Amino acid sequence: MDDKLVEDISKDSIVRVFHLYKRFGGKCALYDLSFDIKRNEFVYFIGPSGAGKSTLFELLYKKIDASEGQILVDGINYSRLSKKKVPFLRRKIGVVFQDFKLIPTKTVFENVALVLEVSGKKKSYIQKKVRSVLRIIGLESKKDSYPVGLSGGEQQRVAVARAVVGEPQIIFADEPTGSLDSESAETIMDLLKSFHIKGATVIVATHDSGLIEKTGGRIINLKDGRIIM
Amino acid sequence: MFYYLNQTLRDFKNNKFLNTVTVVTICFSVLIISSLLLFVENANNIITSFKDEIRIITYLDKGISETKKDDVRRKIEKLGGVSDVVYISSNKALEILKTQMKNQTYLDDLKENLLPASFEIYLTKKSHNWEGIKKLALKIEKLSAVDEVEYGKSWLEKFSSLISLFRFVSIGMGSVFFMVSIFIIINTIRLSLYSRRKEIEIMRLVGAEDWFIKRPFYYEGVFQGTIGGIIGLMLLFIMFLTFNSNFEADFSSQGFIQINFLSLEVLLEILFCSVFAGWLGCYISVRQFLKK
Ligand SMILES: Nc1ncnc2c1ncn2[C@@H]1O[C@H](COP(=O)(O)OP(=O)(O)O)[C@@H](O)[C@H]1O
Ligand SMILES: [Mg+2]
Repeated sequence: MDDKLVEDISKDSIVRVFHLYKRFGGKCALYDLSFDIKRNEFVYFIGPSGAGKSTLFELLYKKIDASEGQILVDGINYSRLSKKKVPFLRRKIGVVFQDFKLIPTKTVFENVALVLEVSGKKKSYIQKKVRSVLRIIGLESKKDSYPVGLSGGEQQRVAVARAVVGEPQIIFADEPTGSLDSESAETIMDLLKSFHIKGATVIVATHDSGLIEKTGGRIINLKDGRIIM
Repeated sequence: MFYYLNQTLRDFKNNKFLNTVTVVTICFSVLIISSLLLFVENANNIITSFKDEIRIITYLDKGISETKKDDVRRKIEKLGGVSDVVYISSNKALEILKTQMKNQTYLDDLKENLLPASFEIYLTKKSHNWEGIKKLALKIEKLSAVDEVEYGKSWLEKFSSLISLFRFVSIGMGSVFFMVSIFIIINTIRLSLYSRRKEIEIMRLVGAEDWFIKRPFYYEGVFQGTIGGIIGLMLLFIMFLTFNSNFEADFSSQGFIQINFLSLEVLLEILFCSVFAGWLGCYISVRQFLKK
């Protein structure tokens, strides 16, 4: 694929995937995926568990590398990205991990603040910003608690807070409402929508097709590692 | 600054046992190395103070003539390494002996002065080594009209070479303990890295660069080195005070020998070494860990 051509086509695309394969040993988890996500789109990847959603996300924030195919995010070709630049790529991306990935020895506040510390933001800014995100997400009173002291739903909200606090261009949310009751789920989805309105590209993976009815957005169906039209 | 200190203390508490073991090891190493140094420095001081008094006493034949005496003096002065030659007549020698032995009145009763006249030969700083002194003494002995040469204190020679050996051994032991400390620090930091590998992975996923991840571990290593070094030197000082007060009662009050603590410069050097050990141990294990 000619790079110049890719640039031209993808002027308003933020995520481009071409013939992507991911194999674990002999097992093919993702099979020939190609898709295109425009700037400021709201996209759902829907599929049953084991369909490959988490694997796809891990490829998209470069936790793992593709077996074959190309990934371009915000014009950056992953196969040509040096290891040193990966942190800067990840700062453009906010991720809500399916297993939350909160640091157990840090408080809620510190977990969320980490994203801003990593990119060298001022302390006063970090204080203000983290507080405001925690307020929006309804966890201000728990800011000094440790993750173990929180319910699953609360932990998930911390994970969302951490994903959005850096005001990333792209937000990947892997089952962001997985352990929430429907009311909390709505809060989370409203929050993601508000970031979408502010201009972020939001990509959500879920096995719960009921989620889409309330929010709307483009749907990509995934099953057994393939896109189903 | 306080934030990082706070954070480091928290990390320390999270891994109390390992950190304590590390600090104790560093502290112990510093204590051993610095007490060896303290011993060597003081022993050297004592030797130098003795060396200042090194002189060759040349006893002259009895009834030597004035011209012969001047001749010998000239010959001695021509030998290399001599800084001063003082003539002690036999009467002067008796006087000195009398003042040294104030209370022994029997000296007053002596009819005849049996003490020989002598030259006290002082040496230049450069020739304060045993080989040189020996050679010089031999040359003087061969001069005519010289009866006997005394430069003695051969125990000082033995003591001096013993101290050199001791210094050599302590440098060797010092390096061994230094390496042991580094080895232990490498391992604590490695375990610390290992126990926090999930946290490190998460930091990476939210966009942390390597230096951001490394930083707290460097603080940890340097903190261990600093605390271990300070405690070790403080223990040394306490030991020194205890020892010195006992020692002083026995010797120093008589004005013989004075023991000094290590100079500030040496103390800072030791502290620097232990901080450096902390840094180096961390550098090695962090590099190894992040490569993966
Ligand atoms: N590290 C891995 N090693 C081996 N197989 C894996 C690994 N990660 C995921 N898989 C497999 O890939 C498939 C897709 O998993 P996943 O992406 O977690 O699905 P989803 O998130 O849609 O539930 C599963 O069959 C899973 O067993
Ligand atoms: Mg999944």
